[in-house]
Amino acid sequence: MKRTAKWYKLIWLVLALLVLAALVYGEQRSLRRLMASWTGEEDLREQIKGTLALAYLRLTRLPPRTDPYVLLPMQGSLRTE
Amino acid sequence: MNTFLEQEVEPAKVERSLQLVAAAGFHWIRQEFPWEDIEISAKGDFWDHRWNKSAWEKYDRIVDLANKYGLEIIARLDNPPAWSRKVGNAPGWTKAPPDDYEDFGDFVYAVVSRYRGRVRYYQIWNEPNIFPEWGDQPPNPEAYVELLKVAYRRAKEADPDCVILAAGLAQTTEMSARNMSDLVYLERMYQAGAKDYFDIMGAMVYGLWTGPYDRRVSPDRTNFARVQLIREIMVRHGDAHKPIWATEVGWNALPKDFAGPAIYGRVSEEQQAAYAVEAYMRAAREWPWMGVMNYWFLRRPSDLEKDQAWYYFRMLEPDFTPLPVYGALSWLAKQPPVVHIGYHQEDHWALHYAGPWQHLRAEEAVLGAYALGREGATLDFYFEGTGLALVLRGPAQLDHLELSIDGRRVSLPRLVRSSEGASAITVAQWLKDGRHRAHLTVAEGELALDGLIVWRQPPFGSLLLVAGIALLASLALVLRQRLYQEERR
Repeated sequence: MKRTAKWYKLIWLVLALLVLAALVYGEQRSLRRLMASWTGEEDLREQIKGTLALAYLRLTRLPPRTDPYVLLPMQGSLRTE
Repeated sequence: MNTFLEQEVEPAKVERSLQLVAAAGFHWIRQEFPWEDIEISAKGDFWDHRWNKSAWEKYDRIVDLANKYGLEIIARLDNPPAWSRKVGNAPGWTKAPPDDYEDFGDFVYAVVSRYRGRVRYYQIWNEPNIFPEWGDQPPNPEAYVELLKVAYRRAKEADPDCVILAAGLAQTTEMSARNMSDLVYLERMYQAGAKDYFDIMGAMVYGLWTGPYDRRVSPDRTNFARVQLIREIMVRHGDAHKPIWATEVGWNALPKDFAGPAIYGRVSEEQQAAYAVEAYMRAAREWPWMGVMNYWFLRRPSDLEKDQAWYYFRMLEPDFTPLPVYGALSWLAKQPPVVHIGYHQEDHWALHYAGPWQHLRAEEAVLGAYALGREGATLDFYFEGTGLALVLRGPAQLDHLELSIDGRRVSLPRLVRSSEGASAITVAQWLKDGRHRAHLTVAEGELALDGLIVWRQPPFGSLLLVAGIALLASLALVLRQRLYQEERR
């Protein structure tokens, strides 16, 4: 009885993983685009490594304090110069 | 746009270069005025004895032509002549500072006074934190600050309206006898008292091995986002009110068959173009403290350096054939101007005033000026963000105002704090993050506009990333616990 329950759980787990894999496969283009927008990397392996590195940085280091809403004289214009 | 116009043999090519810069819609050039090419043979001697003509002639032409095409110059001052050092031009010392900093001060005074009214922006030195820009000796931020102080003092003596940029520091994590991390160097510059001796911070903003959307910010990483750490040091030292101007920005389109190492990274020419556009867009969207960004570089006069990796940052071939990056940035420069996040003045270039507006100077106004609109005056602009506030002078005048955003009339707050100074009044918030069009009409009376603030609610992307990882970790823990309990049963 116990063994059957365990098998059921395993099947459910495999099914869930398959659904997840299918979702990842189906959405791989947008996932890659998302990872590129976090890491600036083109290669999939670098995107995954970069995403993990970014997550680690976000968890261990405060974002830089840049005071974005301070009034700035001589800001120039944000044109392509 | 970084140019090497002083290296052109034919004056026609100087003009052709500037024509192409202006035609692309670019507005600034960063051009070197090498000390060794102006005060060539001896102190006070501005004669080019080799060609028997004034050493100023070439630079006068560059300034005249830049003025003709409506381009603003950032003059980079460095590169001392051999006579200014005991070691002269010994190998490794050609770019080293002079023995007497006052000699450099005199040169700065000579240049700034000559071009007063025509050139306003000067940058003092280039990458003093790496070899060979400070000679064959350890980088010395304290010595650079001494040089900067002399240059700043003499430049302001020559033209009090001139604007001084600190050197852009090379992005490096190295700490060695010849190179020093830009972050360490800048920290030591501040400790040495640099704060009062520059108006704008210069910064090298290369992407190197990753694209402009690399969001990893860390002192041990050199990438496009690193400039935020420069900004962080400035903020920590009370310099948040100064902008950063990107001295150099670009990606290296190294050919596949290039024999040497890819020391600046490697992208295709198409990627170079796409990255350049994205870089300017990211800076505009996310970094309001970033001002002018100078692309590295327009063009070399010949292809003699094509065996060197840095040659492949170029935008035009020596024969003026444009590479994709030229077209891409030209396209971007011609897009309708947008007000991005930040606190902006009423003279922002994206604001279109129509009707009875007056631009007035007043000491009590923010940065000494404001715009006064009378009945019938209108203001149109695009902004990108999720919220908008108007900075108004004097008693709040919202009753005089009609505002629409994306064509829909905005009901303005009735009760606002009244004061003699400027009041920032929120007129829109929780908008969808994107581009919006604002149309403002002065319905009656007067409206004194002293600026505007655009902001963006923090993005959920990074929150999502952290939450996702936390969720996965929790799931793993729960699963592990379940399996453990099963085993025990």
